[in-house]
Amino acid sequence: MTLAPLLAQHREQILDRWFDLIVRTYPGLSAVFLKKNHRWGNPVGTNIHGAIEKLFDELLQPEASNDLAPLLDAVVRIRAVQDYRPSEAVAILLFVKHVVRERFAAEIESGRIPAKELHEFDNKVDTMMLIAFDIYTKCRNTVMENRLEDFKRNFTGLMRKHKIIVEYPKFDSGTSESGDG
Amino acid sequence: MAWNVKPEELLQYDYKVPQKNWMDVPPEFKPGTWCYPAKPEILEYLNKATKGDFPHIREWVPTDVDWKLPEDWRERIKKGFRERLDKYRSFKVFMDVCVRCGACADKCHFYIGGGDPKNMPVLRAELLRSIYRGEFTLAGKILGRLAGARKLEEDVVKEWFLYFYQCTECRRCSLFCPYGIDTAEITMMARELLHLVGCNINWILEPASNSNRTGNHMGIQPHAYYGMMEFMCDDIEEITGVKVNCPVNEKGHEVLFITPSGDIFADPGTYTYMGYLMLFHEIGLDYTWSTYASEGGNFGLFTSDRMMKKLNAKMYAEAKRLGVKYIIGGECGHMWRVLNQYMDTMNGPADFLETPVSPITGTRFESAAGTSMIHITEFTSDLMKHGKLKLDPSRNDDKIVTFHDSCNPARAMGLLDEPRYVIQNVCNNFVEMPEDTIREKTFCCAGGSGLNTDEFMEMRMRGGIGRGNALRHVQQKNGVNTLATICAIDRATLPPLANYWAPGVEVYGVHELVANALVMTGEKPREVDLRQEPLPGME
Repeated sequence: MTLAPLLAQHREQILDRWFDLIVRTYPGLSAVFLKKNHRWGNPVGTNIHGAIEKLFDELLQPEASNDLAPLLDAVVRIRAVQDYRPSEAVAILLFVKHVVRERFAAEIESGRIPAKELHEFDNKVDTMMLIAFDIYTKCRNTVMENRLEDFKRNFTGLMRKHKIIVEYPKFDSGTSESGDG
Repeated sequence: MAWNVKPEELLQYDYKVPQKNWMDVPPEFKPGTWCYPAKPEILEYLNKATKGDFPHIREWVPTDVDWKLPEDWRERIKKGFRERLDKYRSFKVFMDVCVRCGACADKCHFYIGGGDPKNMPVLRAELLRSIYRGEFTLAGKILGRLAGARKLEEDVVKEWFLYFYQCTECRRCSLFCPYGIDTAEITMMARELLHLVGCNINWILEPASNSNRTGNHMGIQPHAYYGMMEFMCDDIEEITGVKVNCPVNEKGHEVLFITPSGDIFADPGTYTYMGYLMLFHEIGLDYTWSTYASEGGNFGLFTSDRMMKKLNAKMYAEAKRLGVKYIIGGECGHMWRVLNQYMDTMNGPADFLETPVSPITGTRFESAAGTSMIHITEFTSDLMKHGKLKLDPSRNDDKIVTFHDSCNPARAMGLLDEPRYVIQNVCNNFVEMPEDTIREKTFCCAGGSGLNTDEFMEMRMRGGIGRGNALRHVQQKNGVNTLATICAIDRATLPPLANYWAPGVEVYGVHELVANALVMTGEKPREVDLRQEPLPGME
């Protein structure tokens, strides 16, 4: 027995548990609301649920696809403007490690799941975490940029009139694995 | 701290679940969730100008324990509460009639995005209702908490300040209320009560004060206003080769045009402003602008009924002074709530004006018989319907456009189809966002009711998820790159919202799109749009 088929076999249960733990990070009554399958009325719940489903499938693949960063973006972009510390915002991605350990405790204890495979799985989650850290930082940066732009926007017309505006093309920090989503 | 968080600790990650009754959870003032208090000098001026509506002026900070409330703060609020219950039958009904069915609970964008239970409209209103019961009803006085009642304490005032300035008065929740409780009016009452003890925010009162003083939110004086208009006219001439007329403060014209002052300084509103100038020039409208009534917005709506009335009155005073027949109002949001829902019984009916009749098409706008003021998209769509404009929509072919219904024109006025009709006449690519996020059910930009300030950015982004989510959807599915809107606050709040939730989508006023497509008499071949960027095919 190896980990991969087990993960695939228990996909629904793992995802349910993972999502349930995420929902618990929201204040009391929201738990009911966040599980509503209403794409436009419940954007937090549906977007996070949709993303972790696909993230889980990514974890089952030997190589991550190009969707990995955008999927992480969908989760982190939401968490980054909610009332969480940075660590709390991204910690929900780590939950999957613990859900897997909880679910397959017996198999891990007895050595039926090789340590190497578990280690590889952990590594994938850690990689997700690092990408999420980049995205989180970018999101927060966007919020601060927005504040700055907001302040300037009040007077942009006036600044153009008096020619006190200098426009540079937007600095492109590159995309690669850090993912703009 | 321990080095390793044990798995079982992570799995019990439930500390967020409040263990207490909501009444026992004190308000927490975190950065980005509250707006800065009003500056004393602003309040001094306003208090004088209103003969005492803004008492107890001081410097204070919401994060301080001591808010330096007046000694008799409790009596002031109780007296004010009682007065308002007696004055507004609707307020009393709203306090009594809610059965806490919860239909509104998950309709607020701030609750949807942040999950704070006190942002559920039902609970936000309960912050006020619990005091109503505790102080004004027999059952509440005797049964206390059993009847959902509580006593007025300082924390209650703090809670009101936090949460009633986390309501954008968008009224999306009211749409779903089986009793039709107008949550915006509950927020308005709470804000009025807060004024009595000197708790208010600068982002609302400074514009209100400016508007009272110079006629517009930005505090622009006539010469500066006119200077900016001339600059725009020069830009228009550069782009089109046509020198448009720019009548200001002229008596004896048929129409007075009033629009938000945000559009004269702030991009992208400036381009919408240029759009108006071009359209009116092209059809030869007999009209004037005014530097005195140079504000369509009315931050009095977010302040108090008296302030709202005062600021609304100046538009009509100016219409009377200039001797016009009626008013056309520009692309503004909350101005239309004031106009459509309050003006008639507040300063109206405007019997010295006439029912608007389009001089170009002859259409009589009966719906505006009482206020004598029509919305620019009503006017323009009528021109288009009668084929009075020469349009080249291909000039907007680089845009895939969607439309954000602004809360007030949509829900407080029912202006749903006219802007769409206008857009579809000037743009070949138009896509609707999902049904649950448009028209009456539109999501707020999360910066309405005077909360469009940068220190509130955290909450604005949080509350912006409803709109952002729908926008992102059409961006990914249909390639939408343009978000059109008919509100000046939207033109200020949606660019950051789009930048966060759907990067790459640009915000446009509807009349900017009109002006791009408008073929003007005597114009030179156009190469650039109003933003001086190449038109499609001219790159």
